[in-house]
Amino acid sequence: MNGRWKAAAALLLSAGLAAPAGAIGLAAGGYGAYHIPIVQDDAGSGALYGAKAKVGLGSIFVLEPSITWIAVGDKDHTEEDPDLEFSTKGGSIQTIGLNLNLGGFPIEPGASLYATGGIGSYTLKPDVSYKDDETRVGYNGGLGLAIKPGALFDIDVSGRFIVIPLDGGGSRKSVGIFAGLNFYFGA
Amino acid sequence: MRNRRALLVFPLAALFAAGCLVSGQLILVQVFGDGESSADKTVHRISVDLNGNEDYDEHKDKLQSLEYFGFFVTVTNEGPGEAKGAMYLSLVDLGVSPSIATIKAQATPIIENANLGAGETRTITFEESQDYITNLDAIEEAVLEGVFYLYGITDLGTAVEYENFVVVASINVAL
Repeated sequence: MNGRWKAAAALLLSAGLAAPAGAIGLAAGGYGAYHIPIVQDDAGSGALYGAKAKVGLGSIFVLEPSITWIAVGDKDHTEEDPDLEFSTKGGSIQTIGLNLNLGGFPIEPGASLYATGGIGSYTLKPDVSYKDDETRVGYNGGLGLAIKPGALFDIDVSGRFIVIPLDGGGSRKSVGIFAGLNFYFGA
Repeated sequence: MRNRRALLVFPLAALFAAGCLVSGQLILVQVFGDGESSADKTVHRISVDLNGNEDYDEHKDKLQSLEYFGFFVTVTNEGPGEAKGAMYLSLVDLGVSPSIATIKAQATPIIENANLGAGETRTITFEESQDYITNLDAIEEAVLEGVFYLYGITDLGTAVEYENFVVVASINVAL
């Protein structure tokens, strides 16, 4: 088991142990999909994957700790002079975050639309030797849909806008499209 | 109804909490050409003035930081043996023929360890240049300033020529 999966397993275990007394349920699972940079001339689209837990609190609120790895794509550039074609390296981003969702934890089989907003630690890992990794606090928000065909699991799809403020001002912005499965404990 | 409003307000509030939505990363490409050699050809100066670059001028008052830097350049090692190319950056003009000691004392190395065979002429591409860059903070200060001077030398102080110099920079700008 490599470090990433150990971290994911630890996250899910800690979420279960930390579930408040008022929790009405716990689910956990994994996801993958696509990351699309916005207004970033130096970064391309790439894959993402991760793991998360969902702690249902009451009938509406859901706490969602997560860990995500994003492979930022390289970006090809063409100039009028064909000798000046080049490609900028996207690097990668590792995040540990906590979201609060409104909805998205269906108790019974069915579908639940949800809104989500959260904060996280985003470690930007540029794929160049002259620049160090940079860990920043970032934010995300979006909408999702959890479809629960039976008692055991849901299919969770969401789109989230991600903003990572940078040290020198400005930010890196992107959209993450997430799709995954979550298994419900104690169902 | 209240819950439906919350569905919309909640993500929007998260987005605007960041307070920095109107910015982006801009790629700037500027051709500077050949520069000038000192009389003994051990130093090659390239004067860089980003003013006049359409993208730079458009965003000049909104530049925030430098994300990535790279270059294209054709280097000729005119010395008798293998050498390593290097380039130093100065915000002040040290003249066309400063001594190598002056360059090392007053300028900042930003390109190091580009291997050059004896008599070799080769083009360093943007991708290869990523392996030679150092001191990004000094480069950032210079790029945001807009005007600076680059001094190309070799580690042995032998004759060298830098031609067809092109700067590529990814800059954070407020939009």
